[in-house]
Amino acid sequence: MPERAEHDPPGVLDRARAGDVAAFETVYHRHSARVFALCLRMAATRADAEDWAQEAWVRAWQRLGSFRGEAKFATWMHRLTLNVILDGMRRGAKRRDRTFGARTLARAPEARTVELPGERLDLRRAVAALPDGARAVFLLHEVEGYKQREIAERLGVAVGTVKSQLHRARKLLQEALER
Amino acid sequence: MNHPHEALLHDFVDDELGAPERARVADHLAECPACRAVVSPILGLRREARRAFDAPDAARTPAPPDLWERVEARIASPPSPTAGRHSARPTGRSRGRWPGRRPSRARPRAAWAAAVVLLAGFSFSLAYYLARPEEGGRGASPLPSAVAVPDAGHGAGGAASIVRAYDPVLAEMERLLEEGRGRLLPETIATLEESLRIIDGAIGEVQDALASDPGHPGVLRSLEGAYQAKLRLLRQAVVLAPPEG
Repeated sequence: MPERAEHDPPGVLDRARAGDVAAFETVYHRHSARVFALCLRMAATRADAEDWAQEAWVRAWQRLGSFRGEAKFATWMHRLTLNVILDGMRRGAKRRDRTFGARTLARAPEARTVELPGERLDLRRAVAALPDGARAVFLLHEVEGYKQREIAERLGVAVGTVKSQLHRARKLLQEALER
Repeated sequence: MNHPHEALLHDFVDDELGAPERARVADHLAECPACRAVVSPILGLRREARRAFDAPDAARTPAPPDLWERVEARIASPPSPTAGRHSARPTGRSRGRWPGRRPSRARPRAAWAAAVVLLAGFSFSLAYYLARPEEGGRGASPLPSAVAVPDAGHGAGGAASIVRAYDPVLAEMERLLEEGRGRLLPETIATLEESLRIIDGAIGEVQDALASDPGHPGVLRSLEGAYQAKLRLLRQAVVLAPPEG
């Protein structure tokens, strides 16, 4: 359990798992920037990112008992956050019926207000400017390593839709980076 | 082999082809600069994307300063330092895994109505489950006497008397439910947790109203009604997942 020794004070995860809210707050402060960065890059709006991050930490608290320490806590939390994000996207797609619809493919990339920190931003800015569905699929597939079938199942869309969004994202990104 | 369709090249890059087709495309790519010129940028984009989003400045973004407060409000209910206004709120029991120990103040005014709808949905699921014993329904099991509906005197003793009457019973129900948690489906747990959150949101709203008018009989009845709803929901859940033994 090197992660726990390296990144979290000794015993803090065990105390959090036992129901110690103060210990869980310590864990939160050590990992919240990573969780929020992940939410922010996947979300269409900052409000979505905040909702997902909040939900991820609540779910982490509820499921901390299932974290046995075999994996790094950061890895466990990353995967849990992605599950929250996928659930949120699926609900959002159902609600709005636009994230993965044909209209998304047809329309121009939307201007997004999500801020990105630091330098080397060309690619990240281009990704941030992708339409919601294309951005989500691109990040899930290319960065997070999900298979197309898995993305389709989790988002409740056809595999063909995932392929279309992925190709669209690649095309738009290549165009953006060539400008 | 003719030039593969571009979509096939994407599938090759994405490892979405079966072994024979993958081998054919690989053989073609080895001899076709034009198709390599299609594949190469896709692979380069993937490599750059992983590098870009793994960079320290991309992997970390400070969370909003109040995010922890929002998380904490949902997972725990530390005793309020301000006596009076919040004294009638449910007591904090952060050791448990069931949500909503602290009523959310951010819930919309429709929270109570939503709670009723969710409760109705949960009751329907329960009725369906109990009506199908041949598929695992186990029929309503008798509940321990400790979880009988308490007599809070219809709010005659104020909000504090309602909370005093219900808190121990709710705590017992949560304990029983925790013991049987493993028997519930994940979807049931999610529905239950969401329902509890919404009911606690409704309780919070009622208590906010009582803070400005502590003796209002109608609002006190609403508070008791909300606690009854929470108890009813927990009882139903315990029937679904009776504790071991």
